[in-house]
Amino acid sequence: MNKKVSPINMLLFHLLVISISFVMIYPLIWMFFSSFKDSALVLTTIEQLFPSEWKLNNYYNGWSGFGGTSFEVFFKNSFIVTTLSVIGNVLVSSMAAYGFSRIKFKGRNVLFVCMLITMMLPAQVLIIPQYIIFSKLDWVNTFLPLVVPEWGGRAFFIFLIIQFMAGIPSELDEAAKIDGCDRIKLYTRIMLPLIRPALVTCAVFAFYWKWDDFMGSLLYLNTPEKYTVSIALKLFADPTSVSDYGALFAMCILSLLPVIILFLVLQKYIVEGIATSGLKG
Amino acid sequence: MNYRSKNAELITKTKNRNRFKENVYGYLFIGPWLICFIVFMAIPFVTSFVLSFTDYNMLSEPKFIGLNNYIELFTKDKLFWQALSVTFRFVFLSVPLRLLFALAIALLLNRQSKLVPLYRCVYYLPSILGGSVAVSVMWKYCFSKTGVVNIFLNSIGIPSDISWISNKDTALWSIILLFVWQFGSSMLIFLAGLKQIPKNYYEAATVDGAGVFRQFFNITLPLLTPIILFNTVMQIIGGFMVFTQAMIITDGGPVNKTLVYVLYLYQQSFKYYKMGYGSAMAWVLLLIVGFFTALIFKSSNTWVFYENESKKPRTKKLKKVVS
Amino acid sequence: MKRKIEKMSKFLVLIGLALIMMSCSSENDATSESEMTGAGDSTESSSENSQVEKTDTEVRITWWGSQARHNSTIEALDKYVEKNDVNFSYEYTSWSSYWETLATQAVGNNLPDIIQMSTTDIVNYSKNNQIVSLQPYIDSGIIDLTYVDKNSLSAGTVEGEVTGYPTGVNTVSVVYNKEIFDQAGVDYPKDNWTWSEYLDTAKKIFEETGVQTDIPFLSEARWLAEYVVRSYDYDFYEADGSFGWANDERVLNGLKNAFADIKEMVELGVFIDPEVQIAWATTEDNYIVQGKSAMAFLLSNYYETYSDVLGAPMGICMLPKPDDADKSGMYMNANMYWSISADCEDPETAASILNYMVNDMEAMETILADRGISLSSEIREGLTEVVGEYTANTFDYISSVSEIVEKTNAPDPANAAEAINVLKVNYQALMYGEMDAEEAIDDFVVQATDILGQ
Repeated sequence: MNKKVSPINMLLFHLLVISISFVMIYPLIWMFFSSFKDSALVLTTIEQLFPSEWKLNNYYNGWSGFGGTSFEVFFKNSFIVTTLSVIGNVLVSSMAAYGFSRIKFKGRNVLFVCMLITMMLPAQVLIIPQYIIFSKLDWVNTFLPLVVPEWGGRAFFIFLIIQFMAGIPSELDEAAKIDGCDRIKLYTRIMLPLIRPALVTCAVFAFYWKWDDFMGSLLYLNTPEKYTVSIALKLFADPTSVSDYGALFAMCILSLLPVIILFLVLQKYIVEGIATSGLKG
Repeated sequence: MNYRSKNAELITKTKNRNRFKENVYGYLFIGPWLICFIVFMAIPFVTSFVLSFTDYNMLSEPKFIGLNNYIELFTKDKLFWQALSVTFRFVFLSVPLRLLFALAIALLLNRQSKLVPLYRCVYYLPSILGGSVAVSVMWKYCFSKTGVVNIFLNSIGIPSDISWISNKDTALWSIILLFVWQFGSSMLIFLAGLKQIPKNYYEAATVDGAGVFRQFFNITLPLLTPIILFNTVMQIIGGFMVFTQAMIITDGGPVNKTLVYVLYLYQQSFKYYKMGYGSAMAWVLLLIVGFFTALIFKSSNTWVFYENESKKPRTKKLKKVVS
Repeated sequence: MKRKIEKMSKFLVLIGLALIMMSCSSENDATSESEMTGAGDSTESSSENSQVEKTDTEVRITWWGSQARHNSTIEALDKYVEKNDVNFSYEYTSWSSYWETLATQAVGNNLPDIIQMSTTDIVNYSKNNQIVSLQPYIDSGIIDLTYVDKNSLSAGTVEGEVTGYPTGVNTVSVVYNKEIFDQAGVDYPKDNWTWSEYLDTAKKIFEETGVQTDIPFLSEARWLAEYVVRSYDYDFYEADGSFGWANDERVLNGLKNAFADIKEMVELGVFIDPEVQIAWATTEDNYIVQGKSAMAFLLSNYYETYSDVLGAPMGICMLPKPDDADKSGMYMNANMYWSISADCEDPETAASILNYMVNDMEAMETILADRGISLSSEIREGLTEVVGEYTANTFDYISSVSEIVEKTNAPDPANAAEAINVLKVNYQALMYGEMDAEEAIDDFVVQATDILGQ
């Protein structure tokens, strides 16, 4: 966006960003260091950021999970469910977005409104009818109810990609058509690469939303061997008994790692720009 | 004569065939979504709508009671209005704040620099935590009487020792701030949008002598409007649906000052075993949210600029830059 | 055309991969898929543990709690597995999501076989036939009542049927910090102390040492209100679920005075600021375990944990009697129950397991008093040697309370939860200065009567 920036500018920039970010993530930093404190001390030594004694107890205790099922199982389950969901979600959402935004088919507006409306009803009143459907399909206590609906895309992603596609001039479509491209080719060879930042953004969101999903997982996964990380984390903090906050924070940090790593890795795709130089010349 | 009508016939036939093709393609692309929508969404939607006219405790068959739920909701339920008022305050305070921060930070971080990816990750972190228990627990302690927030405020000279989450005036703010703190996802979307603005626009503008502010208002903002529309609509919908944080951090308290709508709905449905009533509440919410969404969409005709359609607003200056 | 095929095939490969992955992870649940029919057939042969034979019956058992309870319960159940031809499916979660999950499963006719039940929800499940009567198993002796007082089962009786077996009883209490009392030179409270004595004690301690006292039951006013009502010789709920005391001016005034007194103490600074007290979330947050509070009203089953955190045994005594009341309003509740669901295919086996969980010495030695003080005198005696000083104190306290209480309370009526919430909110509103005591009580009575009548 800018050309050469003066060193002072750079310095100010970094200072500003760092100080804001420090305030922003202080709670997380606190959580990170608390996970190394002795569990009983976590809440009694709030002011003291660094642990006086660094312990890995919380990680051991936390990792052991409950009644013999360790977090290894939980992580594995989370990975399977989440990865499958993300693939399906992004794929189908981008297809649907293309359909809505670029193809004038009958019923488009009505279905578009339907799609938006799916976001406006709180999930709490849908869980029972949905449960009955899955129960009749015999899918309870499997991963299917968690993954299959994701292969229908999500309104959030569809709408997002539509907005990004809106930024792609329709002259592109015309040009491609003249060149003999059919719709599908247009979609795969031209549209998708152009909205890659949006697709990757969706993938990141899809990943951590699914990773985080608690209620859906809990309802359909009844046996601890199938539990995902999100359920396990919730089990650590039950208000009716003393909670092991040290272990909770420790496991929470661990569960954040995949998401963070994914984000760092995919960063550059999100922030790639596009050049529509072929168009305006 | 013959020739002309034959031509017209041919044209209509082609048009029809094209329309048919368009329809086929359209449904092909939205196919998977449509199927899942019908099976996993439409049916439950209709079911919940029907349930809203029943007395349903989930443990036995629903009993049809007509409009009673709705009538009771609007005429006898004081907490309904409380919940609405809390939720409205929440949405119209937190959403603008969130969008503002998201846009500001996105602009700030929209540059090439080695450390920037790291910064982006840092700003994005809070929103990854979402409604997790750990974050809510931690937030509770940060905003407690002896928590970090007070320590911080005291250290910069603002005396403060209130317990933010249990003070009836500030309790809602602690939830609002949590929501705003998690602006990372909106920020990412703005970033992606910013990246999609072709660099040559800015280059041309600089050549024309436009300064930074001019460039922002005449290039960035207009081209970002589809994304702004998206984020606004999404955040408002999300804001109305806020639930987990309110449940874990304050559980609607103190004295129902943070009783957000969906939390109250949840209490009615699962704590008091009145799923029919809860369903009615849900549909009222849908109407409210739908209303605001429609309002925003309607207004978007005047302020959103789509490059692939020839809409009008603010395009004069932009066209000048572009052409 | 070629491209189309290419794209299609890529798509199909992806789907294929996905299905393969799903079926890999579902291999374990392939068998459980077949067992989850719409009719909730849940004791088909299946196992998580591939070493156990597939012909074993699998019993699904669910409970809420945190890590400690999950571990101890599983340990106890594992011991059962060693000696019996059963296999378990443990379906434990935390309190906050328990009821949502259970209700949803009920709709799908897919309830687990053995369910941990609470006092507020048991009536709903019972009346709607989602849990079964335990009487047949009591009669046939599978559930052993030799050491159990039959009256204590009234706590799990709904409409004449025992549908929940109480895992233990608990009651209300006042806990106090002996050291602070010593410092202030104040005598320890006695079980038969009065409300005025309670207020005076708090004031004296505050004057002498500056140490405050907790607001009684700020998080759940009902425990206090019920005590007051009962001290005027009324039941909290009548048999039909209504408030029999709502028209008696004496009782209403008793409540209003008590509430007003508390508010006054808050204003004097003798009681802790409600803003501070409401924010307490965990045991460690409570002032009483930090030595910052002299007295607190507490449910007896928390005594042990609190003393543990404090590091010294706390004093425990009964609630102070309102000055003009007729008798002590002490009462006992069931902690929680074990119930058998209507979807259970083999209730006899389930009943044996239930019996094991409440009557077996070995099981109780693992679980200890986590689910309350056992109904069985044999277990109580047996555990006294094993448990620490704190739990022993609780045992003693409950014994002394049970001497003056006729019977354990029946569970709450069906719409109680919403009514009680009104009381809770009004009480807090009172403490926050948004209502006065008159309003708080009157409004509660009006709203609750309406709700309970529905």
